[in-house]
Amino acid sequence: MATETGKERSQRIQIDYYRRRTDLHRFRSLCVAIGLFGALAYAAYVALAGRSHASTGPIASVHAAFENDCQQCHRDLTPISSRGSKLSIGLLGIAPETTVEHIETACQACHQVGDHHRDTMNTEWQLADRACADCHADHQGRDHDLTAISLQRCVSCHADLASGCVGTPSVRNSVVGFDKATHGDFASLNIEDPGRIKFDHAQHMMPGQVDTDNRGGFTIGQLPPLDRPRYRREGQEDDDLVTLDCSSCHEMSGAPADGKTLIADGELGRYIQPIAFDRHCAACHSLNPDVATEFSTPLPHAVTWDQVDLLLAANRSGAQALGLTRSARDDSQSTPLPGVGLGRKSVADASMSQEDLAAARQRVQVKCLQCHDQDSITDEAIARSTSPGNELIPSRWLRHGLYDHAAHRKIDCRYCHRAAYPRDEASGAPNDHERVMIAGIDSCIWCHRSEELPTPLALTDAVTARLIDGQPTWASDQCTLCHRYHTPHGRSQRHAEEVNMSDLAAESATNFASPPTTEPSR
Amino acid sequence: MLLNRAQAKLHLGVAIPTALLTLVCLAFYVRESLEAGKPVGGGSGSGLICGIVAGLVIVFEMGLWPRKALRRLRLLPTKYWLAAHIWLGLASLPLAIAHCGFHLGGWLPATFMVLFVLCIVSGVYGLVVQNVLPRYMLRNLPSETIYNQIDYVSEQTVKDARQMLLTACGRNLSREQAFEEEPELEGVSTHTIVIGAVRQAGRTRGRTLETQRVPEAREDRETLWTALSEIEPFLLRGDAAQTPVNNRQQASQWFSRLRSACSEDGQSVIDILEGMCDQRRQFDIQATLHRWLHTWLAIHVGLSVAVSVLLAVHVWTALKYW
Repeated sequence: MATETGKERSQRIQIDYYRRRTDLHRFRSLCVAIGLFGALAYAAYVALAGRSHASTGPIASVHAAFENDCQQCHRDLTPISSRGSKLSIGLLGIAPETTVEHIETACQACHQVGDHHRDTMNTEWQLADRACADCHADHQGRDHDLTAISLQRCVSCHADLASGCVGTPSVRNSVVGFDKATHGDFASLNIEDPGRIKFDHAQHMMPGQVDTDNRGGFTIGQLPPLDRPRYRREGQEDDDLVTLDCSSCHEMSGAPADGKTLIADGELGRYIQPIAFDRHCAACHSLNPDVATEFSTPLPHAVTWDQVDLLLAANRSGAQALGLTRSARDDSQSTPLPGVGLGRKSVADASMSQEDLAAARQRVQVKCLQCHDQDSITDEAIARSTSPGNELIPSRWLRHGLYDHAAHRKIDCRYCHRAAYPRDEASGAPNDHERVMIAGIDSCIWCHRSEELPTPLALTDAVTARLIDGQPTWASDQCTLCHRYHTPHGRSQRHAEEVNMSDLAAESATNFASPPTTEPSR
Repeated sequence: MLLNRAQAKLHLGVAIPTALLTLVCLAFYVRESLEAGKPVGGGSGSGLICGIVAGLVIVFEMGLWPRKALRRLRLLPTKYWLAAHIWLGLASLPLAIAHCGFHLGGWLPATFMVLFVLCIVSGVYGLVVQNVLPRYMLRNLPSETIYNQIDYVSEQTVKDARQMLLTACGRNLSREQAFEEEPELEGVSTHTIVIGAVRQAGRTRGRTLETQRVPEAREDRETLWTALSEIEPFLLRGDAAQTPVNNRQQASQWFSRLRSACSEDGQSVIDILEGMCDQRRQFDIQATLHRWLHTWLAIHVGLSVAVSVLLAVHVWTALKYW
């Protein structure tokens, strides 16, 4: 009986089994080949034809024109990306100064914007101020808004301004959010209204500008013919009382005359036009001292008294010369009066005596003093008040932040300017012209708050809901909604505050930062 | 590589330093991101560090390939190398995600990142199956053999079966011509055959070869040869063939009927035939599990090669268009 030997048993497994290739070996070779040649083919494509594939993401639509021309912004071995300015790699010759210089050159080739109070910063912060890409990071998608800067980005410096300033900061040292505790109330409102114009808002918004039930209200018919259409409301006749509202005097800067077209109103409606006597006051408050004829030249506002005297005299003499008025000493009558007869006609003297002139000027001054105090109507004071930056009514109350009236046009004015409305005798508030009638930060933070915070209860009551026209009650709390980083090119912010407001608006429009708009409602 | 208590010292020795390195890098990254108010990208200091570390890890991971190819050089024990391969590879993923600032970017970085993630996922899959399937196979597939020898061993089994029947029953008279084509069986007159036997190592039992004596069963000659011809395709090709014994339950019923049709002497022959079918069934399971156990490696290696090439391209483009 034969049995299987050990050798025969071992032959049950092929001796070279480990050399034999299986389907798994072939599959592995295939995978390696696909991985290697696929990656190499793609690399070749990227190098030769598809450089846009090397991009870290689509660039913003505003830069899309040169998306495939990388060298417009990029330079070999020189960072331009966000945070790149902080890198220092000696081995590769990368230094913050070189990087920042490259970034600045690349960006300012098109965007020549001002710095951010750079003269008050230490060296480190000055470098950061020059690194545009730190805030404006591209390659974040076609719809990415390069000017949308997060609150945290601003807070990274404003949490402790002293750490980067060469001296004591002129503004609040720490701002880390947008509420009274973390931001503080608007600094501009801490300064009281100088009260150089006496004006009662509530009085002017009464029908006829008189108290309720009082007689003698101003009627449409009392206005100059040319001004009547402007103040006439629908259905009003000449005998009806003039009824004013906020927009009668406070017009959005640059807003179209019909008030309906809102093209580019982000810019047009950002500011309220300064109050101008000729446009907003003269219709009711004529400066001419006597009953003016239709031929009388209206006295101009804010001119020297010599000019006023000249125009007063010219008006008088001209009217007399044309026979429209008589001299003060002419008591002639067309019909004889008992005991007087025809009187004595003075024809020789058409000029105005010094006494008459002084009396006329006195009557003009009385009109001036309705709104101004005595110190404000001297020639020197008038000259001073007409120079830029010394207007009697500040052209801009919130000097550090922007407020877009057009963006808030659905909100009733009294939501922020409640004090300008019905008189509140019981409150013992100071006179109207001594108060800044702008609500503080509390009126903003109800809507402009962190996304995580719930809707404040105060916004849900019926009165407030009516004031905000039932709008959704959340809006962004980003700093850039109200503040601009870049000062006008070549000027510090302090200087910028002094320039004419319309100049600022124009420069803001040329700045690459787009106008702020409220966030989409939610 | 096994992840169990016995290997804990080895793994912890690599995993803890790796975790510390990763946490330090990520701490820098989080700090800079908080400072910037948003997740910073690869152009930032900490993002660049994360990227460089992740890139070096990828290079190291690829070093496993030459390490295996040059195993005769005995560079570093493979177990250390593999432990580092696993833990550093896992650590590189969060570092790479931090490096790219949580967004995929354009085509090249996105492709690179997707392939890298797939590579990590395939590696994790491999680690899991390598820890689960071999244990399962050892316990449930005692007839396991070398994967690429399954067909060869199956042919041997068929030969064994024929030899066993020839010994026990004599020639198959209905297939005289077939025997003439098999001269190696012609003169066999041994009464022993080699079949699988149970081996035991601890609590694990496996099968090895064993020589058994085969009883005479000449009166069931026709039945047994017919039975073998029916199960032979299954013994050779496994589930690929359609036979009555593919399914374990059906096979059990089929062999029961066969037993009832045979005499007492034929029962032990039937037992051996049933054992052969069971062995082939285990081979089929083993083949399937083997593919699960090893296919991932091919994908993992292919992806690794692609990732390595794209890493080089990424470094070049990142430096050029920083």
